[in-house]
Amino acid sequence: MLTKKQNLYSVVGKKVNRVDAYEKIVGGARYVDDLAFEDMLFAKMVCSTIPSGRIKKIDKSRALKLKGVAGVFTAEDITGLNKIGCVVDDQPLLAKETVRFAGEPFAVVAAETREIAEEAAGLIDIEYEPLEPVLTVDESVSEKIKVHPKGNVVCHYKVRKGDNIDEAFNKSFKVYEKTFTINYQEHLYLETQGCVALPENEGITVYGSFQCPFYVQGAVATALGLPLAKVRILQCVVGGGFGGKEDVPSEYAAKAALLAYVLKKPVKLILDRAQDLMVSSKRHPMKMEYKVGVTKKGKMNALKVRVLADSGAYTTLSTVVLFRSSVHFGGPYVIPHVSGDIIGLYTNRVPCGAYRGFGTPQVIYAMESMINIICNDMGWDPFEFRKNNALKKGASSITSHKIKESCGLIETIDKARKESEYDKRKKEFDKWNADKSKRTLKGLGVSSIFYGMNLGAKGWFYDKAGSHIQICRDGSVTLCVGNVEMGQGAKTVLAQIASEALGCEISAINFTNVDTNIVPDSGPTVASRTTVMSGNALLDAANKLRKKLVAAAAESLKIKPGQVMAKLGKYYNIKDSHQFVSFKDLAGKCYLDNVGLSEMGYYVSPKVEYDLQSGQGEPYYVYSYATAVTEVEVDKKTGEVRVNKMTCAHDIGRVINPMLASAQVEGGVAQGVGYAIMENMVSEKGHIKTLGLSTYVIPTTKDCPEVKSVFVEDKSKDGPYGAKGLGEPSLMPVVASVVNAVSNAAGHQFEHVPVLPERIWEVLNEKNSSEDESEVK
Amino acid sequence: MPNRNFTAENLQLKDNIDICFKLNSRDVKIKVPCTYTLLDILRYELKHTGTKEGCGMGECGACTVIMDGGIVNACLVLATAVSGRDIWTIEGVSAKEDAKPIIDAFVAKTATQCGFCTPGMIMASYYLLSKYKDPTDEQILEGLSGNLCRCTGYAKIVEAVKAAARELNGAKKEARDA
Ligand code: FES
Ligand code: FES
Repeated sequence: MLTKKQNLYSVVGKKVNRVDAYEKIVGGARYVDDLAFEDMLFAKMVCSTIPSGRIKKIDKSRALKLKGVAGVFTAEDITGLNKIGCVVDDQPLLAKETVRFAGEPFAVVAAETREIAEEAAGLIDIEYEPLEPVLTVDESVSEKIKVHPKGNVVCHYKVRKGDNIDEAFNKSFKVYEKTFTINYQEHLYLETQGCVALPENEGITVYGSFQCPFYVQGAVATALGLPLAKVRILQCVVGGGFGGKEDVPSEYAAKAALLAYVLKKPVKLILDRAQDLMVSSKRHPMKMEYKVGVTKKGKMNALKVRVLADSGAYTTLSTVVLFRSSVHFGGPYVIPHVSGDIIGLYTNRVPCGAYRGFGTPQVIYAMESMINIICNDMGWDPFEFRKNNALKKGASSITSHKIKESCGLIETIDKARKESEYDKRKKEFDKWNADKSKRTLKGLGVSSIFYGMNLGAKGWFYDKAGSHIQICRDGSVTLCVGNVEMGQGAKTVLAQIASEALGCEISAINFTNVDTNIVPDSGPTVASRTTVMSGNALLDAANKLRKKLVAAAAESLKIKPGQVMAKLGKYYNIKDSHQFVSFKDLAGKCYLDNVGLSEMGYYVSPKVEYDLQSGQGEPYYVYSYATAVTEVEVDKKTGEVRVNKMTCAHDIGRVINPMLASAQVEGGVAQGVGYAIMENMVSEKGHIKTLGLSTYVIPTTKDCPEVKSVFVEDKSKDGPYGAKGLGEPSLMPVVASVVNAVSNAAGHQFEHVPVLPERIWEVLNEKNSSEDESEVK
Repeated sequence: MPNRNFTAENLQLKDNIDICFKLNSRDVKIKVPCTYTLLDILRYELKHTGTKEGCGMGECGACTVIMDGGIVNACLVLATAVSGRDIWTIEGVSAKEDAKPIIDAFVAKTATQCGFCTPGMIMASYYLLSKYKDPTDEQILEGLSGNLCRCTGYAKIVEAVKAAARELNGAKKEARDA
C-alpha cells in the first residue's frame, strides 16, 4: 500500500520495466565472448593436475613448435610482479616453484585459434615432485603439514561478549550442542569467466565480465608493471556473477593482458565450463560447532561457536568473507553472553572466496538449525521464540551494536507467519503426517536473518563510489557509475533514482557501462551495496545538476527557484503545474547559456567503529532483515524432497522497484534451494570430480518452489530514498528454512548440507527401526 | 568448449569441410573445420552471437536453436550434420511477428536478469508455443526444463510464457473473428 508520502515520487517505488531487457532478450546484448578484434589470439590456461607439489621443470618446447602458437608464458615471462592476491600477498599469477591446488595455473598459451591453443596447452610438459596435500580443515588446523610457510591459519576472528561464558551456560535452563558441516557451493553463473585484452596507447585495455573493474585494473597494472592510468577496464554485459566475479576475474584478466601486452595483439581468454568449475573460487565449506543456552522464559542467554572454514590454497577474499561470518553467526538476535571463533584455514584445495551472502548462509544454517532444535525440544513456537530474542531499535547485536534505525525484523517475522498461513498449514501438515498410508511427509521451516549493508568495518577503505552524469543539449542523459549490472537490475534501479532526482523521463536515460577512465574507483559490486553506493553517488551528481536546472527554469518561468518543482520531464511552477518548461528545453537553454550540465558524484559509506580484538562495535552501519517460511514434501520411499512453497518477508528499506525486488527474491530462493538439497560438489583427494552441469546439478524449472515475496519498508536514513540492499539477503534465509522444513518433516535435524535424498532415506529408515535419540546434552 | 583433445595422431581432424544450409531463411555456404559444431559456426564464423555458449556439452540450453522444426542444442550438432538443414536462431526468430508477444511478455514480466540464458529461453518458449497453443503448467515446466537459468528462479519466465500464450491466442482469435 502506498502511503501519501510515497506518492510524492513518480519513478521511485514503481514497477518500471528493466531498461536492459529487450537487448538481452533478442540476443543483441554484447557479452565478452561476443567481441572479436582483428588479429585476435586465443588464450588457454594450463593448470596443475596435482593438489600439492614442487615444480621441477616446465618444458614449453613442444608447444612452441606447434604452428599457430604465438606464445607460451610462465612465471618468468611476467613483466611486472608475479602476484595476484587481492587482500593478502600469498598468491602468484602463475605458479613458479610450488603448486598448491589441483587446477592452479602455471602457464598460459596464446594461439591463432581456440583449437590450436587447446592443443598447445596439452603439449606443455611439467614435472612435479608431489607433496602430501592437506585436504580437510581438521588436518589443516593440526598444522602437521603447512600449506604456506607462515602456517595454516588464514584468519581468526573473535567475538567476546559478556564476562563469563561458562558461568552463563551454568545459569542456562537448558543447553544444546551440535556440530554442522556444509559443502562448497559453486556460483555457476551461466556465462563462464572471460575477458579480451587489447594493447592500446602504450598501455592496455581490457573488456570483460567483472564485478569489480577496479580490482582488475589494479591486478593488470601490477602484473604488467604499468601505472593504473595506462590500464583501462571496460565492462561488458555480465552473464551472472553472484560473487564469483568479484576478485577472481583479475586472475584471468592479468594473464590475458600480459600476453596481449607482450605479443602486441588482442588476446581473448574465455574459460570453458570444466576449467571454470575446477579453478574458480567457491563458497567456503565449513565445520561449525554450536552451543546455545536458553532460559526458562525462552531467551537465549549464551552462545558459543567455533567455525573452521576451508579457505583453500590461497587467501583471496577469505579475510573479508569470514569477517562477515563472525558478525552474523549469532543471527539477528540479542544474546548477552557470546564467544565466537571463526577460523579460516589453508588447505590444498580450490581457493574459496566471495559468494552471495559472503560467509553467512553457512552460519545462518547452523544457528537457525539450533533454534529449530530448541523450539522442537521445548515445544516453543518458532516465530514467538525468534521475536522474543529479536533485534529491535535500542537492542544490541552479538557485537554490541546498538540498533538505532531501520530495523523491521519483527515485522518480517509477523508478515512471514501471516502470509505463509503458517498456522493453518501446520495443522494440515500434522494431520497429513499422522496418516501413515501417505507416501510423503510434509514439513514447515522458518529462518530469520540480518545482513550488514555495504563493506563494513573490514572493508571501509573500499567503500566509496563515484558517478558521472551528463545531460546533452537535447535533454538526453548519459550515466556512468562504477558498480556493474550483472543481472540484478542495477541499471534499472539506478536509472529510476537518477530520473527521480533529475526530474527527467526514465526513457531519457542512457547507461554507459563501467569505464575506469570515466568514473573513479567505486569498489566492488558486492555486499548488496550498489543501490545504496552508486545510488547515492548518482544523487550527489544529480542534485548538483538539478540546482542548475531549477535556476534555469526559474528564469524561464519568471518565478523564484524555491517555487520550481520537477518531475517526469517537466520543471513547473509549484503553484500552477500548467506553467512549465520541459526538461528538453531546459537542457537546450543551458547549452546556449553556457551552463555546463556534466557533473561527477561521489559517496562514502558511513564510518563505523569496530574493535577486531574483541569483535565488538559497529561492524556495519545498517542491516537488512528477512524471515522465510518454507513448505516441503519428503518422499518416504526415496528420500527425495520437493520444495513446494516459500514465503519471504524482507525489510530492505525503500523498495525502489517492486517488480525487480520480487525477481531478486525468486532468484535467491532458487539458488538457496539448490544449495540446501541439490548442489553437491564432489572433491576427492583434492580433485573436483563434478566438472559439468550433469554432475554438479542446479535447479531447473521443475525444482523451484512457488515464491511469495512481501516487503517491509523500514527506511534507512543513509540510503537513497531510504533504500537498503537485497541482492544477498534474497538467498540468505533460504538454506536454513529449507533444511528446517526437511528436518521437521523427517523428525531429525540434518547436520550436513546439502541434505541429499540418500541421507534422508537413511534417517527415515533408521527412525523406523529405532527411536531418535535426544539432541539435548 | 567441449574438450577438444587434439593429439598428433588425429591432426586430420583439422580438415575443412564445405557445408550449405539455411539460416533464418537465407542460404549459407561456408567452409569450416570439420570439428566445429553448429554453435561454433554460428558464433565464430557467422558472427551470430545471440546464441550463447554456457557449457558446450549439451547441459545448459543457452545454445538452443531450431533445426528442421525441432529444438536442439547447437553445441551438440557437428558441422557435418548441419548441411542441408533449416536453422533458426534468436536473430531470425526475434524478428518474426509471432515472436513479438513472447518478447514483449519477457520484458513486461522481468523474465530476464543477466540475460545469458535468455536467447535460449526465447527459442525454447517459441518452440513450445508453436507446439502447444495453450500449454499447461506441466508442459511449460517440461518444455523449459532443458534450459538452465541461474538468476531468475524461473517463476517470471513461466509467467511470461503464459502471458505470451494468452496474447497469441487472443491475437489468433481476433484474426478469426475479423
Ligand atoms: S552450450 Fe549448448 S547446452 Fe550448454
Ligand atoms: S537470466 Fe541469468 S542465467 Fe537466466
